[in-house]
Amino acid sequence: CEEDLNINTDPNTPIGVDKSFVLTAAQASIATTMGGNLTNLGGFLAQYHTQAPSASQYLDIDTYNMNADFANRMWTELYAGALNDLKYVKQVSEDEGDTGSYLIATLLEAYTFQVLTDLFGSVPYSEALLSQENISPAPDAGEEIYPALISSIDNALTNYDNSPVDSSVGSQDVIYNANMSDWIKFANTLKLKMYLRMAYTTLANPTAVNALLAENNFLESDATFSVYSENIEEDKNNPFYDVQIAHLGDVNNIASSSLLQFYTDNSDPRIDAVYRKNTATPSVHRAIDQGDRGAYTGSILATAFSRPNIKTNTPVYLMTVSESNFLQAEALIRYAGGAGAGAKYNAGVLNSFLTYGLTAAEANALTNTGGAYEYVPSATVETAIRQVMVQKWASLAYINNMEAFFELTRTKYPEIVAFGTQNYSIGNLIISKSSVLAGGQTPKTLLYPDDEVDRNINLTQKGSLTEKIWWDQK
Amino acid sequence: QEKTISGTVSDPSGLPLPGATVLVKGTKSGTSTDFDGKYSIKANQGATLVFSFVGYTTKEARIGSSSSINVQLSEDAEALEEVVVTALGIKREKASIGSAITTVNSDQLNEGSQTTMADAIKGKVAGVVISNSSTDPGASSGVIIRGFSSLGGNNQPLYIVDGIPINDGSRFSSSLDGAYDFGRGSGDINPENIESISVLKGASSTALYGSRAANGVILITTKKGKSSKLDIDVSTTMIFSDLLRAPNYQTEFGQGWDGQHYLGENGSWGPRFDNTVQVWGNVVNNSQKLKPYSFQKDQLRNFFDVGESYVTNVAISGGSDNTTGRISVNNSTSDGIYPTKSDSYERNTLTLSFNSKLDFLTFGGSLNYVNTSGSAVASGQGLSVINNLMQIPTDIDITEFKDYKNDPFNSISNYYTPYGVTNPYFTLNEDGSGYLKERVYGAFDVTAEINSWSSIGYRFGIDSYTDNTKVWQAIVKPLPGTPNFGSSTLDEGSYFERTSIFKQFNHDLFYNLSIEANEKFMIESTFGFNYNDRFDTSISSSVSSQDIPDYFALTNSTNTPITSSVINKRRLYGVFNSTTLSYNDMLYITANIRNDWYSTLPVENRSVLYGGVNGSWVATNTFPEIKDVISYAKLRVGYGETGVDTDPYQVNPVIILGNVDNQGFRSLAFPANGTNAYEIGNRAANPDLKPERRKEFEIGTELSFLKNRISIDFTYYDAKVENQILSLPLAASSGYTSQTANIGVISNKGIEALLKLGIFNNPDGFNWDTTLNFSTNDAILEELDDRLDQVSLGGLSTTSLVAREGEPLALIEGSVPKRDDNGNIVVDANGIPVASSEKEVYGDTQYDYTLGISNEFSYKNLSFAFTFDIRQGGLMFSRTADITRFTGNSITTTLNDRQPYIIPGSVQEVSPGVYQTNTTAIDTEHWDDYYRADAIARENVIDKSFVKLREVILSYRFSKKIIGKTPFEDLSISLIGRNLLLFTPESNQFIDPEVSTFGTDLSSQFGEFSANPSTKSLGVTLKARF
Repeated sequence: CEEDLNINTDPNTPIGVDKSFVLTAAQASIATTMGGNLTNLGGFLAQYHTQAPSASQYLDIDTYNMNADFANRMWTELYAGALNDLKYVKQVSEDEGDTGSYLIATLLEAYTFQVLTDLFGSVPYSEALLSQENISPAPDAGEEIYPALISSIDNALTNYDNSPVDSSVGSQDVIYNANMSDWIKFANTLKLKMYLRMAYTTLANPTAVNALLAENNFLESDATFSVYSENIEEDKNNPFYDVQIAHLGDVNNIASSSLLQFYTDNSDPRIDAVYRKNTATPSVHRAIDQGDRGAYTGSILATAFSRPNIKTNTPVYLMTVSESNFLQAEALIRYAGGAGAGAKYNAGVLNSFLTYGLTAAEANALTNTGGAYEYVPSATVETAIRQVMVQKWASLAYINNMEAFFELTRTKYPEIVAFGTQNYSIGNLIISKSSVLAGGQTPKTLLYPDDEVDRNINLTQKGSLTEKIWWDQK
Repeated sequence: QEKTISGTVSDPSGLPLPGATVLVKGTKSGTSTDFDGKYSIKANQGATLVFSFVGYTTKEARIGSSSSINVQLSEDAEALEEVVVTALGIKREKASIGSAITTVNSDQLNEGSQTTMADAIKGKVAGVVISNSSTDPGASSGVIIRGFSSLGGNNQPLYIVDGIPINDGSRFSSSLDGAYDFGRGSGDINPENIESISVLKGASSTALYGSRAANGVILITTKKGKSSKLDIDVSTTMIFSDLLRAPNYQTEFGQGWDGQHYLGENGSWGPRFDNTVQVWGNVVNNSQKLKPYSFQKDQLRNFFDVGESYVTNVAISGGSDNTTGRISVNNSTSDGIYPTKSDSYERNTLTLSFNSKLDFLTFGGSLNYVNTSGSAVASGQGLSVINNLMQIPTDIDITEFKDYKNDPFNSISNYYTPYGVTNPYFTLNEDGSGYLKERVYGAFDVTAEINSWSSIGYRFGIDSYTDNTKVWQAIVKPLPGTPNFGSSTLDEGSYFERTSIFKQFNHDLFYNLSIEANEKFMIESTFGFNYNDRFDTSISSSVSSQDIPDYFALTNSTNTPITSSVINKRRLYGVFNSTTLSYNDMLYITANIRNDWYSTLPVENRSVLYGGVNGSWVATNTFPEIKDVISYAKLRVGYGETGVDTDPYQVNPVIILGNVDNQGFRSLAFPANGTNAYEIGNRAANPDLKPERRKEFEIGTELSFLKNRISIDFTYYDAKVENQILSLPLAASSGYTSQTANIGVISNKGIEALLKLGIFNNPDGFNWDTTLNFSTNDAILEELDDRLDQVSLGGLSTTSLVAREGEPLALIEGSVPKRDDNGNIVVDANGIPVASSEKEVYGDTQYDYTLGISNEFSYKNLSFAFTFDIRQGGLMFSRTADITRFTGNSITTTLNDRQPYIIPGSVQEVSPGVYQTNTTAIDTEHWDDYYRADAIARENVIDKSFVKLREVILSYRFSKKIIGKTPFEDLSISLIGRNLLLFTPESNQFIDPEVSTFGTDLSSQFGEFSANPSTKSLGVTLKARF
């Protein structure tokens, strides 16, 4: 009888699996969240796109009215999708002595936690991912998570240096094909990004930044994820394409004047890489001011406007060489007197053009002396940094929309100004014309997802979208 | 002078009563009737014969000159002495039962000619709530006995047909983007085949059936053939149905948005009606339609047509002295109220049964073949017909859209609105679903009499079916250059298909003892062994686009279909004993004990021992002298425990194929472009999982007064389920999103009371009987895991179904307005309330009480009966409310006549935590924003109380005089009305609160998500016996 009852092992799932397959799943979770949900959200908040007046799917974002259900899916996908898989990869790698895979998993974990704390502030970290041992992990303050993430990266780097074992995952590492040298560059760039995020806080660490600059081993190829089919295929395309364009019918996200007008005024050819022209004859670029649905009554369809130029197999970018260049430029301005910042700035613009599939000549035409984007060295740190940040914003469109929002929230560049006072040509954002927030406020964070608040007794909901993230101190 | 008297003893319906006792009064001479109700006895003229049968009133007849005496026994008032079928098919006098068992016999069951058994017992059993997810043809009817006792799994009872368990699985989808319901397994049982149904409610009696009986047992005994008599029964029923309830619309404002008369809008936020003739819709071929800008009365109602359903049943039964048999065929078809056959259902059943006695062996068996087929109209959001319908402004005649093939204005390219909805006639005709099921179930049993006091028996049961479900959506692609090109009304089409196989084998071995210790003491005992094996497998595949229109297939797509297959296996072993001690027909004690071994639980926890004991005392047998006042009095008390296991494969963690959610709409599904991925499943392991344990105490009484003119059946029960097993939602930050865990204790306390009044009782004249059937049940989540504040049980993300410790089971939680420290409502820059970042509980979903009131009047051959079903209290979410408020169609959307309005006492938050008095009025442009604001989501949750005129039956039974010359032995005709009237509270201006699109179990308590409307119906049924 006893034998006869031993039939409770699920025959529908594998009993064991190589860690490399799990690493791919983790990367897919991060990429899908970054390239889908956060490309959409970040695109509104960084004012790359706005809600088409004839539809209303994302009216909650454009009106600054995201509720506590808004973040349920991204939160779940990052914690229970990416981070639990990475924890498994780390454990197995440690057991197998695979220091390379351990480093890869650690870096992706740090990247993910950084996005979580940048979005939500305090989030579960030290008590997270313990399964039934702790089903209500208490949140840790962002000020504690950042240093912990940096030390986890340093620890994994040291492990790898002490006993360099090339990762065994091979092409299951969709991002860098298990190339350890690329991942070490990724590590340094990620650390630089985190140090600079803390620039306006008491945790700013010029020494550490200068050490990184001295080592000078940053990203040389874009960190991209793509397993996407070129054909239009449900569940197999770029996440923004799959949902916003294919599933929802391409009717919601239309170009915002904030970015489109910036490109137009500066004759920036990236306009055609970032946006598709409208379907009028002849087709032209057309945008509306952020949130300005009131001016377009009746049934003017999204096809009348420029729309995001994301294709079926556009990769998801986790970090780019261009972003790395701008980070270095900012670091040089902030902590090294600005020497060499201009070159990094130019490289940032150049590499942005290359990522968008444009030419070096087109970039150089704008950054050369007399060009619209010519770098003007300045004794004032903020003046110098504004140039870097505006270019960074103009180069992150549909590359990493959320990062663009974090950076403009941190540095206040490009400035968000009241409608009517904006100058789109120098890089300005406006307060969404359909904002429901009184007193000219704009969102700074997201509410904790209801699913988490309902299930985690140690997490208390925050009061509003306008509460600042810890590093937002300028 | 002694002579031979013969005749037939029959019941009130004319059916013969086999085994009735016939005695010559004052002598020891007697006999009993045969299988055909016939007797013959020698007696002297002038003597008196006494006819008696348990459950019927005793009748005396004086022997005159005739040598033939036929008697018809009337049922002992309310059949208090009836024989009931108890656990394991053992027949016992009802007096001996110490727990609440309600028996519904064939006549009561089939008077309303319902297609499904669950509908047939609706309102007839106290403490049982039957819910229909919809009145769509073939849709599920759920049965909940004594409230919800399980948070997670199944709360449906166990169905036992002639001793074998029958699968009651449901085939439904509660997808918000297209829900359908193809019914439950119990819907395959033909009610016309049922001799009686016993509903076992309490754990003290259900314990013998093991864990699956924890929610009660519905024991079905099928009709059998009778010796030496050939009966042919034929019945046919024809029912017509119509829309019962459509949402109530405002009559003042028409098409538009923001107060403007836009011709492309899918809502009624336009200006006030002026009744002038105006253009409407799109310009097509340089022309545009005209119509008056005025309210369309019965706009929704006119879309629907009359539904039809037919049931025909033929049964032939008969037999020789030792062998009897019965064969029946039944066909039932229905076509619902949607125009076309898109909502239709057909069921055919063929049943064969036989019983045979050969020396000391008794054999019996039955075989049922059932095929069902149907198609359903998907409900829910998106391009569903119902969602298309409810987004049509109040001034447009929906039937105008009927011709979408030839009338260019009605094509999907030119349909008046581009906003995510399309022509409902297009969706109705082009989208669809199909369901097919072939099922065979049957039983075989053999009993060998070892001696006069013991026997051994074996029973084998099999239940097996294959079903196939197909669901498709047509391509909706407005042509380039047309008004709707590039709009959100775009669908690439889709196709889904699933085939499943289910098998259940059940073996029971019994050893029965029946020992009469002396004249007063008796012991009856059954020892048994049970083996149950269930297996199911299904393969499903879906593809999200279709290439060629009007053809639906997995291969009709450039996309790769997504395929999955699932296998589930489970087994259990059980050993049990049931023993009844009886003393002098007045005291009875029954003890049940059972041990189960489950495959679904961790090895250490798989063996579970439980049992129950109940007793009854028939006071009127102890003190016969009180019978003048109290005709019958019985007291019963019982206590029982049952163990409950869980679904297979819930103990160990799993690794699953990579599938990454993409914003809730899509996913990244591996393998992708040559790369595969596997992820750590999101269900955490639970090696410590324990079985649930249900403990139930009950006490009850059955009393009747004034020669049974007044009778009362009352039960109080107090049940607890400990170690509740739930797929516990976990905070994602734990790395997992669920765990199958023991999370708390639910208690159900309630009363069931049945009061029957024989107001007039004149067998040859006017009769009036009234029955009140009252029950209450309080389900409370008594204890919850310390690590949790609440658990989510379903619903939506904005408004959801939750349970909290110490509170009634299943609360609805949702957004509420944000308030400042002084309690003022905070409004946004447009004057519209802002939602608080924390949700609050609106209230619970339980009925306070349910009450059935039945009246039956009869005069000679004519009878008239009607039943009101009253359910009071509880909340439900209604998307019908939500969407009709969103569109401004609902009568509830005319606050302040849509003039500018400042929310009284409101404030605005100008920076975090800083408030100032609000001076912003909600203006014409923003009224629609107000009605869809999260802050007032409470308005979409309605009181689900109702009063329904459930059933009205007018019957005429032709007298023997009339049919005597015809081949008919019995003939009757009835007019039947169902759900003819519905009354709901003021707050419900939307829907029949009985509908749900979330199935028929606990999750259904959440409410409905754009359900199809329910129906009322009227029909006629004809029954004949040859």
